[in-house]
Amino acid sequence: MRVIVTPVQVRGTERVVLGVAEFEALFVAGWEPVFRYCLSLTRQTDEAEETTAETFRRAYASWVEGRGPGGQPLAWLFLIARRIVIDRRRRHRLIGWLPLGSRDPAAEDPFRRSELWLWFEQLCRALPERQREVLVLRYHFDLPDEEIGRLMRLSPAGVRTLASRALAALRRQPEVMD
Amino acid sequence: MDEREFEQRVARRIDQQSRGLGRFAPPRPPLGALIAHGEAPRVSARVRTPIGSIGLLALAGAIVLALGLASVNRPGPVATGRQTATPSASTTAVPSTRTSTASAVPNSTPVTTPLSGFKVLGSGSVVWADWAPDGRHLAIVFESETTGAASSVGIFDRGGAKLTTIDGAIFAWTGSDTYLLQRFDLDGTEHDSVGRLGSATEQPVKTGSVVAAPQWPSLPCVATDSNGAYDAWFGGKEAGPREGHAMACSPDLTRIAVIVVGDGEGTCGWLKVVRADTGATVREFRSVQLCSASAVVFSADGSKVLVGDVASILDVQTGRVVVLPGFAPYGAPSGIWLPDGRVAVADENGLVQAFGVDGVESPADLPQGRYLSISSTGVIVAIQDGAATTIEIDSGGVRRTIDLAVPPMPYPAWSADGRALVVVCGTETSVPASSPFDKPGSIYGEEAVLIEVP
Repeated sequence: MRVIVTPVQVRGTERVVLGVAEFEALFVAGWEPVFRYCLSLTRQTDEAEETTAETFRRAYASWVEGRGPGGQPLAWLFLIARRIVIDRRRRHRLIGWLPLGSRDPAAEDPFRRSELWLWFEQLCRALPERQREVLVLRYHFDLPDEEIGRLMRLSPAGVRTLASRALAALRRQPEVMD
Repeated sequence: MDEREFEQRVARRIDQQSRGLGRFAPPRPPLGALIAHGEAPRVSARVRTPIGSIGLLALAGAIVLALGLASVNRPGPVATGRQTATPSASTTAVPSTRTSTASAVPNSTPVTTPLSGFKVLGSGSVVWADWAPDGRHLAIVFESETTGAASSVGIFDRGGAKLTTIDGAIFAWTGSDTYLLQRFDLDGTEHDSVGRLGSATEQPVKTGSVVAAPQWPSLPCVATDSNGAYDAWFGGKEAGPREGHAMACSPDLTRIAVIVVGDGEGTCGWLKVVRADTGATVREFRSVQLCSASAVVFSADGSKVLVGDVASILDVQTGRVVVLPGFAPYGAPSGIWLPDGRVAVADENGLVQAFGVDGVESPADLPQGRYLSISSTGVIVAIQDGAATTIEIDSGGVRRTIDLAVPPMPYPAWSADGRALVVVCGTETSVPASSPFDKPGSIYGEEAVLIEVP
């Protein structure tokens, strides 16, 4: 699926400063894709929602300062979202890796009670996170390998390697694709 | 099905399922509200557990009282004889029947006395606390309540007096009064700088430059660690991203214990020990399946690794795995290496036992609690779980307890001299007992408390 949210804001080497109306268009078109991306990373709707809102808040602040996307707007939003997710994890990790109790705060998440969750759980058991992410960016958001590489701090060749490893792993576990 | 066909099938399935994620998208808030709101607004409501209620404190108090009585009345551990475990690739040590040993329990159980005097250094959303290398200053990182993005770092002196506040998200000491600071622009762009306490100016640096420092204070040999990859920190430089979750550094900082999640093997992985400088594998323990990580600790000489999750001692030199008896199937939430070379391991109920490296239980009278920590001078702290607010501290056989107002989290920061510790306390700290590696944790602490050990 290709998501076109708004025209690229760079003409040649010139960065065009856009206004609130253009950002609003990006916001309207990008809210759900960014949420989907965040949910695929966090697998918790609460977290995904907070990250999505924070992504647009930061994106807007950059936008009005004339630091809008240099390429695909959606990839730019994903980059912001990804950094927020990683930053949150980095700060939470001290706590998150410790088994502090048996209560699972995400147990009431409606996503957890869906069939989709079961499928994603199956995928999570089959593939490490980075491989899942590269597949979602490639096959769902249709981002080119160069954009995925910028997002994941990989070379395009690294993206291809990661994707081919993921495909090879799924080939060994075809039931995930049933 | 050929490769191309299979790829197309995967693409269709991933696309179809990922579209389904949109069903869970909350209604888009008005842009104006999003921008005007200091913190990103939530459209859907989250039910938060009320904290700090009188009832909860009363309940906590009752539990503490009960635990305290249990601690006082707890019989000493049953002394067991040492049994030589048969060397094998993987061994479960079996405790033998009782005979006297040289390392028997001290004749008298230490008297536990209350330790008064702790100091609350700051409250809010506490992320972590970290002492300067010389122990003269302490940094406490707070998540900002207002923006949800920026953080601030409170700098305190050894006695707990606040000296200054620095704006920044990630803080790491680079010396006794110098630090590395990471800030984020609103769009997530990182800015690193180095500063000196008392100086108003900071110098920008690039991550990876020799003047930088590990940005992950809990692991002094790791510069960064996130998203299933880590950067080792060796000789003042980052050693590039490597796959895996860095869990522990050897005391001489030359080895790193890493949990590796293999291709196609989901979120469980295995532990391997690598050289910090090159990343070369020293030893892999593929037979030890790890799906969460509760405690990974190197021995003093770096030759062995205690892994609480599977309650095992892994010998890096020989590859031998000694499984400690009595911890299956849940493993141990924490463990430490004692100064005499034994390990002390806590079980899910907070009962602490000592074992030799051969896996045979060895008598010892230790503070009891689910989470253990030991200072450079051998002061042992045991922290209970849940609503319990009592900490047991053992210093040279002198046992003390301290009652806090808020339950402590199990990762105290020790000063260099091992005589002071800071614990972050909070009530909303629950996460799944077995956290998959890629699942974020939960909730910050509410306050940081400085405890001096006499």
